[in-house]
Amino acid sequence: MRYVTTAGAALLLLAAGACTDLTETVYDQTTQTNFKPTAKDLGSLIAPAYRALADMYMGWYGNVDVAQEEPADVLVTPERINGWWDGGVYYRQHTHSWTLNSYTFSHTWSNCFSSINNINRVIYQIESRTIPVASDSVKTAILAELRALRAYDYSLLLDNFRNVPIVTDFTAKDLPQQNTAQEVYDFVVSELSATIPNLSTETGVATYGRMNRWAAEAILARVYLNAEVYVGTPAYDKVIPLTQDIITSGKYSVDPSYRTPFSVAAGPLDGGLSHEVIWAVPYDAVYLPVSSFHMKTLKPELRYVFKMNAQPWGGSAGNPQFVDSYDPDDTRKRDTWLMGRQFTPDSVFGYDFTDTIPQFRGKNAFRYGFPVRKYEIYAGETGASNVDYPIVRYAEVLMTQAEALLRTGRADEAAVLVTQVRQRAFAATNPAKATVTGSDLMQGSSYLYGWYDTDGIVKTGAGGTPVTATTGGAFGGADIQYGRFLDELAWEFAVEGQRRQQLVRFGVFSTKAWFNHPADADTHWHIYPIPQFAIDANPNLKQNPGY
Amino acid sequence: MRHLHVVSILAFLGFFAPPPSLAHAQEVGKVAGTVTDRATGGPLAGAQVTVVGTRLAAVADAAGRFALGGIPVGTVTLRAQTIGYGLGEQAVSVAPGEATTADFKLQPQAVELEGVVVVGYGTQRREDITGAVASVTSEQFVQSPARDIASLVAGKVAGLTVNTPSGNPAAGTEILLRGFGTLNAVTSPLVLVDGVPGDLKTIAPQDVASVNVLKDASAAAIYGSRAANGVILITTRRQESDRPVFRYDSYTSVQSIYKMPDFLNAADFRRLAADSFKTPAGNTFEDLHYATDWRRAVMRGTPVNYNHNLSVMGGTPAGTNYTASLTYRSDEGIFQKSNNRQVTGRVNIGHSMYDGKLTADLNMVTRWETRFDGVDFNYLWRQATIRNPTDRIYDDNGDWQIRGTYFYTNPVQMLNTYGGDREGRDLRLHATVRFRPVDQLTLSVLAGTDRGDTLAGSWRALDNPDVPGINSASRGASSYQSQVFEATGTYSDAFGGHRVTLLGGYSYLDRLDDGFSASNNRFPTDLYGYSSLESGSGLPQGLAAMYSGKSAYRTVGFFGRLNWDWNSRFLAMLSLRYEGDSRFGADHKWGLFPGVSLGWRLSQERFVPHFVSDLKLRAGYGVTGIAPNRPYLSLTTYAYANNFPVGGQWVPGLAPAQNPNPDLRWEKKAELNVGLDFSLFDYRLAGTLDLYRRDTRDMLYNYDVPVPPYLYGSMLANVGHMRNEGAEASLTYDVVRSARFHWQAGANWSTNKNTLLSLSNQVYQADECWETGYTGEPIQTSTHRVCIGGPIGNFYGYQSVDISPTGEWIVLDSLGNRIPITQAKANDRRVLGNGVPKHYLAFNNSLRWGNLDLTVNMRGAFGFQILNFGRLYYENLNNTQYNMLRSAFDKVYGKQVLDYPLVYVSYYIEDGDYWKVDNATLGYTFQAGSLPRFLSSSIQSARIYVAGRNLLTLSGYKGMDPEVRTVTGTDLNPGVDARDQYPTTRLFTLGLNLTF
Repeated sequence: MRYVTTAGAALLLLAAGACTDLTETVYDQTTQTNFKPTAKDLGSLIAPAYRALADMYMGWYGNVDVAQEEPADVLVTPERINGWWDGGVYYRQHTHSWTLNSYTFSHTWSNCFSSINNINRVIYQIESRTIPVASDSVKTAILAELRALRAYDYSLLLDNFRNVPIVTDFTAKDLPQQNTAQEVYDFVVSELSATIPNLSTETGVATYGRMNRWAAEAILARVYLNAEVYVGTPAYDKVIPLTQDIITSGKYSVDPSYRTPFSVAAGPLDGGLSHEVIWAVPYDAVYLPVSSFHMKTLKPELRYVFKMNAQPWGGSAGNPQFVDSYDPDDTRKRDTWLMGRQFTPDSVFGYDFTDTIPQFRGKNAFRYGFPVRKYEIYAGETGASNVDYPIVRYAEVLMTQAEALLRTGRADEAAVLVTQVRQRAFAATNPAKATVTGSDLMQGSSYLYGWYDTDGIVKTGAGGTPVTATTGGAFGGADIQYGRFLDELAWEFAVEGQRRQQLVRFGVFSTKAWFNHPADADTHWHIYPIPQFAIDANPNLKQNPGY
Repeated sequence: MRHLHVVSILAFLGFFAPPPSLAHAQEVGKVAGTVTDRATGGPLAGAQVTVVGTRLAAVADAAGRFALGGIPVGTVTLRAQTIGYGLGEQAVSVAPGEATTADFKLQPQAVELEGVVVVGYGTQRREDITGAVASVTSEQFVQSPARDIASLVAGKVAGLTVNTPSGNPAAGTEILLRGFGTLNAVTSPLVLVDGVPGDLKTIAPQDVASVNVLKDASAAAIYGSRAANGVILITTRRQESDRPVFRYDSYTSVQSIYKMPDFLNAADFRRLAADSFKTPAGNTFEDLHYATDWRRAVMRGTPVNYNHNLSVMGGTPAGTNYTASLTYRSDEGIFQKSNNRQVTGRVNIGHSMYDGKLTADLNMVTRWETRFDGVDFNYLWRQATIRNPTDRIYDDNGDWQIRGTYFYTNPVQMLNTYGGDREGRDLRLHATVRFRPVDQLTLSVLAGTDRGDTLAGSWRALDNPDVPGINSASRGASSYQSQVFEATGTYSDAFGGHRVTLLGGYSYLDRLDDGFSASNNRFPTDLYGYSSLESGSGLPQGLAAMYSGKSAYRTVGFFGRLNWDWNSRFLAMLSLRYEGDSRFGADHKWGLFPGVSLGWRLSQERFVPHFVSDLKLRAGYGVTGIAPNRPYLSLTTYAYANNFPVGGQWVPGLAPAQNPNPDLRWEKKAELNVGLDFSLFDYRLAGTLDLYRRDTRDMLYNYDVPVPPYLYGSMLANVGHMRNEGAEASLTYDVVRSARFHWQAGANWSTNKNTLLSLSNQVYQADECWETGYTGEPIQTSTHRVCIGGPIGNFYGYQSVDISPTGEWIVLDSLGNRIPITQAKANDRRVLGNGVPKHYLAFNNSLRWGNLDLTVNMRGAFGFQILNFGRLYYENLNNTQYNMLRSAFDKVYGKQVLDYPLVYVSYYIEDGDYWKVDNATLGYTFQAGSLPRFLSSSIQSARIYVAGRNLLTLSGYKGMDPEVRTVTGTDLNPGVDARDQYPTTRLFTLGLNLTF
């Protein structure tokens, strides 16, 4: 028994001395407890707020193409010989039948709120002095920039979802309450108005990719332009002084070439060729390798034609109906779309692109439909493009003011601005055609709305009767108020992620048919549903009407 | 003598066999006798008779007679043994120069009864076990070359699924015990090699003495938070007698693809092109005027596998003993360059002193594994199957023939312009010291360390097909180190018909993982491969990448167990583990894992009839856990990632990467198991029946959470509840028990029903259903759906029922109406089957006729469906740029050739039921007497065998092999026969076992 006692005692000793410490030893993570930010971390802390925009716009299932262009009349992603049915996701965007959790728009929701949350956190950290800031003026400027960026995120949420929760307090732990469209609109307007005076007026490298005064004014002008759609009260008169402030500043101009703002060298980080881009997402193949829209629209063998370092996937193309609407002398057509024969010098690889796509569903060859070439394609291009995405360019400021003038009965003044934008498009072909008049802008649209049948003729439906500009209802464009101006917007801003908003504003989004999209039964499709996962996660949120 | 042993050990380390140690010159005598079957009285030819404590041994002849000479005078113990019979032992006294008689009558046994079974922190007599524990000893292993240790027991343990869905020699098996119990944590069981965590490749299969599986939670609860997927206990071979043994096992295998799918060949293409054959869509076939069998162009002629295993055992269990082995294994795959080579070494030295009161055990296991790792063979298979057979490998200039087609790569170019290798090394050092101050008490301490690293490198040549003109290379290493420490005390006593064993202990385990990798590109030459990363110009251009990471965790446990039995009638086991893990959240670092099981040996009761040899009813309940699979998951973390220009400088953004979760904890599995063990008719028929219900609660799932107020859009939380219910049965029957012929048959069956009961609570809500699995390009849709209230593994898509006159699918809509697929909406999809087999059945036969032995293992899976991606992608005429199956020309539903793009419909979901002749082995054992004299003096036994693996499959399945991946990790998409895969193979083996 002596042995037992000794041994038992020994075991107890062992157990008592046994290691029971379970604190984690952290090596490769930055945790809340071990990270103490300093003033020099400010750049790193605000970067994610902007970066969310980069992920959102031109990435896979980007806001530009899938959320804003594919439900509209300019761009389609038909089924291809190599696939592109993808469970019907593009078809549902095209025919306005998206489901409640579709990544096509929930992507925008997630990125905007990710940006907002980062902004709230950094604002909280600055105000609570968790992050030391060099001076009061730096503090004022950085807070103004963050609030303006947050207001921009909310302007996107307003445009796409309307009834979203406004959250500005990082420390709030309760699930957010839903706000009305009016509340969101008022928030965006007041935040932008309040911060504009404190924003930097500098352009160039210092503010490139970031919110400066001119970007904020252009965004606020865009919000006012759509005020009637958002809250039922027009605010066109407020558009004019804001846009005029940008014009008068003389900081920007329309680039002589339509291609310049979309070239690799447009931004000040890459050469600074463009004086037109006011605010852009500064994509970079090395540092910000996210932009993949070129892979989605270019076709596989074009890698050899353009000497790219990646094989494109071959989906999206211009809607032939829209491509047909350009004036033959408008060089924006060939600057936006990759047309005709595109072969390697030895003619081994390439395609002869045609402006016909028989139908959305089916085995469409790669050569059907024009791929987008607006964003520069360059030798050595990989799956991530170097081309920056212009969120706002000066031409839009001019066109925004023009639309406000047009809608407030000042068509002739509007025509001057529209002509200014058109001039470079006809400079090399037929300069006289650049000029438009006030009465031109009062005309309907020349876009031949209707069902694009397999024989390439626009009809009232598959196998229906051909339509003309004046057929009316869902067909033709002559009955669209300010339709000509809507056409001008399409020609100038095709595939820049603005078309859904334009069609809604001009009352076309749910009333007209195009390609294989019939007119909608009602207007609830004007905005996207609150993503179902967001409602699941936050019971305070109510689904948008009609969904 | 002790010196001699040291010399022997040293001799072994120098790879010399020890010289046969001869008995000292002394007076000797003889023993002779017979070995017979107690039941039939027939002779047991081949039975081995040994003199315990010496290396004297003899083998019974055809009449069961044996004779042993040179036995030291005095009382010696003789032992007789043969497969399928209990051990026979008797003491005989040997007189000088005389022949003593000793006869053995051995008890036939369908199951080994005396066997002790390893149950975790100790052993138990089989008859005392009250949990669901399966034990497979080396005689019962599947005898063909094993991929890893799991393949040794494929089809041997009811409820343990062992699949070999890939022909890649570098791939392992996939295993699953009693169904899917988790959505987000690891699904693999805890594998312990001689009590220390390891894996199924830690040691060579030849070194395994037994594999024990703790199936239910009452048995596994002693391992706490790591045991929810069951525990596999691997015991290595040890010196157990006093006789030195030198063994050499060797085999050579050849293999071939199990089934070559029937694609068009060059002649077919040419004929279709010459006839201007138009597919319904109007596409034509292009004759490129050459002929290449692309699959043969990337496959080996005859892949050969070799295995050599040398093992030496010597010394005496009562003093110093050693076991050492060295295994070299070289496997070639069916694709060129595909290979896997392993060297495994193992040394175990045991020492016992003070009459066994103090024993020490030193263990070393080391392993080295290397393989070609430069090409994704799964994708290579795709390219070899789809390439136009009238094309050629090289163009007129001798360059690779390339085509611009989408995702279409010259497979020979791929195989030759990509390269790389991967090498892994492990070293395990463990020491155990046992102190037994009194017979009742054993104190034991185990301490050890495991270290290992993996070194991988890959390169891409300038003329590669993907980014022509840009070469690249990468190199990376990862390593782990783990410390284990265990202290246990066991107290056993017997009094008044009671036997009690009490165990208490402490266990500690820590682990540190780290790794790094670097890549560069744009090298001036291809010659360096990955060996001179600095010479590429990609790095200064910002085009190179690198990575490093390091993480650690610790697990600490206190445990105790009480075993009690009363007159071998009533049995009880109670265990408790209190365990903590650093990976858990601050509020849940520690947890309790109880286990309890009870048994009643009815065969000890009078009312049980005589034909019942043994009968035990048992029931158990236990709780086990499974930890999250990464450290740091409960902490708030931020990550520097994603650059943005600030003032002209690119700075990395610092953004939240994870929400804090102080409540993060293990998934908790509670399991109830009821079982019955029986032996009937003089142990001729034996069997086991188990019923279980296992409930996984606090199951981890990634929830969408609103941002704000959360920092990050998803949160890993313990919410869900999954249930697995099932039954298992196994039977062993001695069909024929005669002296010359012995036939034992065994069968086992298992079934499991899986239900996801809940995935939401007050705080976290998940969708009722979510889709998972992925068709891949170009269809890009999900294949499976998981719903609350349903099982894992449901296929979900359109139900095709017919084809239109124009060749388009007719599918059912949500109301059951037949509609063209072009009108089908997302909500018309439905459940199309399930990829998890409902039943597994295995049938194992072992026959011995004189010196000939034959084993045949068959197994099958039933009640499941397979998504045949091979047919989905290649049984379609639409894309004539790709090669296709001959069956693409067949009429769908006997009506019409398909004219529709690739789409996921039920037509491609087939019943997967199969029955396989998994293995057949025919062996012949040469008796010492039948060998030439110069051999029989030194060779104790010699056996040669031929074996075939994956010999025959009976199945209606049209794909290559219905043994597809039905066990998945967190993909939850079982039953998919992928387009990109490494096809399975059939193996033929010639083997030799020599014992000296």
